[in-house]
Amino acid sequence: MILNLFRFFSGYVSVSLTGNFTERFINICIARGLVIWNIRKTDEHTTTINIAVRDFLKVRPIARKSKTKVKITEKHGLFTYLKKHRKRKFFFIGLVFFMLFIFISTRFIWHIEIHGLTYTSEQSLTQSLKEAGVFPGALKSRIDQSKVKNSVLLKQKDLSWLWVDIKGSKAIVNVSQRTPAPQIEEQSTPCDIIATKDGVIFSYNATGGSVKVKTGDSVVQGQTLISGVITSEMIPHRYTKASGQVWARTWYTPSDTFYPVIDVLKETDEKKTRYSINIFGFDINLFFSSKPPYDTYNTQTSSKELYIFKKPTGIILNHTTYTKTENKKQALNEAELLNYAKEQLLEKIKSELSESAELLGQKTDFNKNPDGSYNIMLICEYKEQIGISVEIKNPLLSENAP
Amino acid sequence: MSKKKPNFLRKVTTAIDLPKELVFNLPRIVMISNEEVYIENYKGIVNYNDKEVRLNTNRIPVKITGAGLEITQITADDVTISGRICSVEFAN
Repeated sequence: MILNLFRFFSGYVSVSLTGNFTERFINICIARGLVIWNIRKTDEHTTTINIAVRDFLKVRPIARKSKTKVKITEKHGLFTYLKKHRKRKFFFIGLVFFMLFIFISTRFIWHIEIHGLTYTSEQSLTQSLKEAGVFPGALKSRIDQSKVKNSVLLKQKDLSWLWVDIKGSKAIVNVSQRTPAPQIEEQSTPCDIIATKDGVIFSYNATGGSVKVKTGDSVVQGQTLISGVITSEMIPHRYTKASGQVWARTWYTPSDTFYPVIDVLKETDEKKTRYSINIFGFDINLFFSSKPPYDTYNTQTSSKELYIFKKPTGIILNHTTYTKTENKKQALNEAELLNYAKEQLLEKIKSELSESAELLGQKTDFNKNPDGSYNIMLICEYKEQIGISVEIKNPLLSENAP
Repeated sequence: MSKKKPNFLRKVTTAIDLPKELVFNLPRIVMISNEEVYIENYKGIVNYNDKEVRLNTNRIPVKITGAGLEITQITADDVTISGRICSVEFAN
């Protein structure tokens, strides 16, 4: 392959040899170090060979010596090719434009990739980068990485380190964020810990204040669990900030009526793919109608970036596949319906649960209605943290006040 | 004395596993199926057409027969012949 390419660039000729001693001709050529290849006998007295252009000039004495007639049949090589196509002006203009396009477009930044952001919004960093001169369309040669680093770090107080790597037409911004200082809780305001929901106390861990409940107690919403008022013999009422965690068993009983035939959104075989090209930050749609092709659909998007010599060029091909979906009736048997109902009902109570909730047990209860529908109730038992800190508004009027 | 020398060299070569083609300048022939023959250490083409190629080597001439034979690569040291090869013979 590489050898052929080299021969193409340096140019070679196909030569036909006529005579009785073509073998001798070949042997002398080889002995004198001429490069020949693809030796083929076309008939008894004729042989064709390929020979490099620079070696062809040395052939004359050999031909005379071996009494062989030499005739060029074909010319090959880059210069011959260009000569042959020299009248195709637009081909060359296009070639020049293409090279210019590649050359110019790789001088700019077209994409910015940010890695390492945890809590700051990308928008504010993008804005700071833009002010520092890193934005889609910026000249690569104008970007001074250490200057960008300094100016962005001065503006963005939440970053501890930043570096811009430029790869092809992509700027890769690696940042590392400062760990924010922990918020120091204010200890002077007197607080109570009260119950956020009804339940039975499972366990508690009080680190401040006096505990007003014990394990196994039933509590109602709003009841004080850990009080911020401490009474002792020496000091009758001391106000403090109650702190700690109270775990309780809580119950949820979501219920609803379900029919054994449900609507399911199912994907059909109908698919349509739409393409769009993102060139230097501009989206160009390769389709006409802006409406989605179906009323109900699922979409899947993927993108491919054009790389030249392993460097991104800033041209991205996006394709979105629309899969048509249809509502279909599906009949469920009792077990399937119960499972389906369970999922739906669990979804219902999800918003009421605290993050720490831990499922201890669940049970479904149902009865069948005469019209075929089911009344299904889900009984769930959770263990969750129910204590929340509430400021004692007027310590003297608090329920524990004298 | 002159008769003993090659025998001695041959013994030494065999004993220490030296490549014979280098020591005695023998042709080294590599075949790829019946499509290609690659011969190193040849000493020139004797006869060539698309059914038969005869090559001189240091020791013994090599005859390659087949159909559509073509010398695809040739330098002073090696030659590659491709086509539908039927036989590679060593014959005087």
